[in-house]
Amino acid sequence: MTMSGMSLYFLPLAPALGVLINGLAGKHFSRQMIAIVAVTAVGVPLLIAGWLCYQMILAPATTKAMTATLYQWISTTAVSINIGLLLDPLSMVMVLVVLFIGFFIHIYSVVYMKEDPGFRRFFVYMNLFIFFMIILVMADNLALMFVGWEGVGLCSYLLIGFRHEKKSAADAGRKAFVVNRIGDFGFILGILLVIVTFHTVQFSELSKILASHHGISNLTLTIAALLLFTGAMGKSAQFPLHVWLPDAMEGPTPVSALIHAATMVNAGVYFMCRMAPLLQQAPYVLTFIAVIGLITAVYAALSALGQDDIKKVLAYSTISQIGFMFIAVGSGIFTAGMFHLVTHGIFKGLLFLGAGAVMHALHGELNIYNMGDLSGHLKIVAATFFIGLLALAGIFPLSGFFSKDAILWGAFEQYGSWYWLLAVVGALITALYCGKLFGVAFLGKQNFSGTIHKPDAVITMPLAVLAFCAVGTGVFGLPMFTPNTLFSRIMGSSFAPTEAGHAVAVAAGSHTLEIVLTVAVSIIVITVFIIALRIFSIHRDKAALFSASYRKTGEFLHAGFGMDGLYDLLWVRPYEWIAQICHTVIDRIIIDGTVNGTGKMANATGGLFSALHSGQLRYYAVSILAGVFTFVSVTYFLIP
Amino acid sequence: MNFIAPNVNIISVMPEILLLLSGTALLFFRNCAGQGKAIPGIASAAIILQGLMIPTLWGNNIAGFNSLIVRDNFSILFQTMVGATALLAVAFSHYYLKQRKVSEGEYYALILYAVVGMNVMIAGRDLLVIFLGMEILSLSLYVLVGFFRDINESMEATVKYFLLGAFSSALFLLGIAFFFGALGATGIDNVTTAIEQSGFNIMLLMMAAALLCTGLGFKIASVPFHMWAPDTYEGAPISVASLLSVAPKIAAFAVLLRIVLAVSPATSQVTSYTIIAMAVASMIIGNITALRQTGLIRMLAYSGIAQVGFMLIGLLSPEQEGGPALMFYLSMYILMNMGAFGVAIVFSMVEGKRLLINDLSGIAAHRPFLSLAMSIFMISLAGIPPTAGFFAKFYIFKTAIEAGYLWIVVVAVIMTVVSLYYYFRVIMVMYMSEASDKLSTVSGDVTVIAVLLGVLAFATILFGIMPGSIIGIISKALAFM
Repeated sequence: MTMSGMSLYFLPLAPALGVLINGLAGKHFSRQMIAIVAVTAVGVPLLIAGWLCYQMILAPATTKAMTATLYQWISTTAVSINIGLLLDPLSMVMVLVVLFIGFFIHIYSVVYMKEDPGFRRFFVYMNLFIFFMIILVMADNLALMFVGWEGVGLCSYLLIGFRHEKKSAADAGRKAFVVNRIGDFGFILGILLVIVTFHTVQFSELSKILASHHGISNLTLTIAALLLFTGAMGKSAQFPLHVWLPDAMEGPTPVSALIHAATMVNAGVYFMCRMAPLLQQAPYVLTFIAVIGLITAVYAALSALGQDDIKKVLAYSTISQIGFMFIAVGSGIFTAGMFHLVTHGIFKGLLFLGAGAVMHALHGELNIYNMGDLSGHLKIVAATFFIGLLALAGIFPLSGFFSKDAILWGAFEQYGSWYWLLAVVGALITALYCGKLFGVAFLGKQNFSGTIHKPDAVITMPLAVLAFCAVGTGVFGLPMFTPNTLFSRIMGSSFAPTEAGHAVAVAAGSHTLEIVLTVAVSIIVITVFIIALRIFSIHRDKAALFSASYRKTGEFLHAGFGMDGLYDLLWVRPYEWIAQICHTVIDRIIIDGTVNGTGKMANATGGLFSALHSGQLRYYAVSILAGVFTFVSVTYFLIP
Repeated sequence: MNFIAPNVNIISVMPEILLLLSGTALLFFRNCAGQGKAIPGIASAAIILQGLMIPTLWGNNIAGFNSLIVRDNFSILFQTMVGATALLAVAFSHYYLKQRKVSEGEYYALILYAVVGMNVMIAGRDLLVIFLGMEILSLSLYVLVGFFRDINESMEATVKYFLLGAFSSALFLLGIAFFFGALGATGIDNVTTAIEQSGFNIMLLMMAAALLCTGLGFKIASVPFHMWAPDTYEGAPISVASLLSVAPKIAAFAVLLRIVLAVSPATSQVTSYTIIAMAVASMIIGNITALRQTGLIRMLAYSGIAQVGFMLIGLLSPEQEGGPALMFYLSMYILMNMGAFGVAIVFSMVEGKRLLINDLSGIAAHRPFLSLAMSIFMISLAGIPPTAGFFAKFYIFKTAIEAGYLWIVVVAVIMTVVSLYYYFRVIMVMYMSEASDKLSTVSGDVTVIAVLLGVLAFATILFGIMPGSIIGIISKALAFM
């Protein structure tokens, strides 16, 4: 095995060691020691990943993918599954995102969680999450990926319910778990169908089979792709399985930043990109993904507009942005989807950490209407938060602009102007709530009293780094208006055979239209953003008047279109009703009755037998005699 | 009279000679001048030595006394099991006697004599030799049960055991007489030659089989010859009860297996009716009566009766997999039953009177390791994975199904479910009841017995996870039969 092959193992190994060390021996460590172990467990693999990335860029196109197989996990006649890692440009990008953002969030958490009694537990879970995320991303087959997939789900559940003594937190954790189960059910069925159809779960072999004349019916491929997409929908909180993510904000803010913004929720997008060879042969599913993505993007953006909890705004915004990523996937431009994943991960991580800093400063205040004029008090936080919002709104020249523009143009080409227009509406609402958020919370009149807790350098340093990246990563989107951007060059051959046709089409088309549209959208977005800023900071009374006259609409948006209520009516209540019937009728009367009845009967018989056992020797002898007599006489009569 | 068998092969009985000599030596030790401390050590050394000797005879089929005694691999395996049980019993006795502040040479000598008797039973190829071994065993046990004359229950127990034992010995002897009447000889192997020449009285042979089963049924405490067991176990010193509940069963099952193997080709299905009756009755009566017991030892006695019912199923297909399955069951039974009795000994030390299950309430808080060990033994006796007891039952049931006795397995499984109640009651009382102070003074020292119980509990789990090694050894042993 080569040096780099060995170092692949180290990427998941380091966080696993962090879990073991802190989990087993952490009880005797000081908080400082725990923090050092946890941060090192993410920092060291980040350095290695950087080195590997450097090597990968230098390597010729044919040898970009590195693999390492540890051992054979399952071997049957139907399928054999390896524990193997795969590091190609696609997973490289994800590994870097996970470790880079994860590293800074770990540092941030050291201060953020300083006072928490569950300090060690928190870092054990965080390292465990990083471990499973690396496994998910680097798995070279579906089954191992599913292990990581479930693992991150588990960590998400544990971290959402981190303050489990709080009922709402415990409930939110459970909700996330249950909703994810629905998606995972589809995922498992999808894996089984893949096993039955292809007799392998290895990604490399799957794409090999799919590239050949396989003769597998289109219907089977469509169903398999659809089932796998269900899994992605659950994990990535796509409509209608998105309901768990807003509630997941019950977790500590660094958790929201890492898991529910930057990494885990994007796993569905990564997964769909991994399955690109399959999706490309199931065009209906691509359309389906595009529609779901569009609905989610617009719906969640509207809901974000109605929130007044700073973390809920960001949560709905995350759902909406992942919707944009799925628009990219559904339009067949996987590279653009991955690019948006990267930029979004950075700026949304930044925004959540900024929100955490605000909460920290205001002693846990979440409602944006109780903030106001924070920019005067928290200069660095406000500046970085503003950069994050600009990137989220997609304003030139921040990273969000490049990635979102690529998606919008791809959608226009694939599905035409109406589809494009709706996506643009989503982008405009994004700009609107971004402006609103900053205007209400950071500008205008101060709406809070009391002291402000100034953040220290350990809190602001990650903010500054991520803000710098939120500006800088746009470079990878250059040169614009070509599919041959810097990012797609790094991605190299990941989707090459499938996007070749696309590239030709783009080359043939005119750039003029694309440039005109981009400029027009940009101008509108910037205008909307500035107007929103002004209304919600300077003319707040007008905004209040406006929302008072449309109160119902406001409430509707606030409740996320009442999806929770709808689900309660559709699923939860009938389920509780059935459970009640099972409890009273089936369990209590039928099962308990039978079991208890049998038990009572046996007990009574036992009493009878005990009574026979009198302690009198003569009865014992009689018993022996009776036995002998029976056996001998039976034997006598049975003799042939 | 010049009746000395022409080929007395003294090597064939070397282990027994060793045991007899050391046992007789022990008789001269009294508990004075510090001699008492050496007694258990000498006894264990003797058992370990003979235990080391026996495997050296492996695979040689050494015969002695005109082939009245043959040490084949079958007997070596059974004798090893008996030796292991006796060793545990000596360790338990050491603990028990130390608490009572007595240490008598006779006590350990009697255990060694009992082992001699069992060894002779196992290795004997002639019914009269087997009977001899059985009597050596029985007489030693009669005395052991009533060893402490100051306990009244002990006296009652020994009288009951002695009278009923004598009665069943007489029945066994009657069986030998019928056997001789059928074949004109008392050697077990004579059946095989007689079948070839078809020169025997089939009716007498079957009567003999039924009567022999009766005599042995008493030794293994199977229904309807079980009545003595609960009273005797409860009255006897618990260390003796632990020996009594396991070791004689091993020896008696060895003899039963030999007899059934020899006789079944001649008597077709008829012998199996007796065994089925004993098995089913033992399972039902043992398990159901155990439900209502309040005393721990009495519960264990009925549980032992029930376990014997499960083991008897293995005798239904002895020439196929039944034999190995039975031997596996017996070896796992040593672990879990001796373990359960061992825990009972530790718990019983505080009060002189009999130990009730409810006395254990809340003991888990005081003695977590002992309670954990007890739970493992109970779970294993109930036959729940991943313990040895699960595989023991599993193999037995499997062989019975393969031999076509599905209905017996159905009964057995139902009775296993019934048994969960009384086995788990012990666990429940230990862990879930309010702590009573009755046993809180049980010493928490690490003693030999605590280490042994730990080893037994560990082995119970270990063989529940990897039963293959034991099964491998057993199959090898039976391949020579």
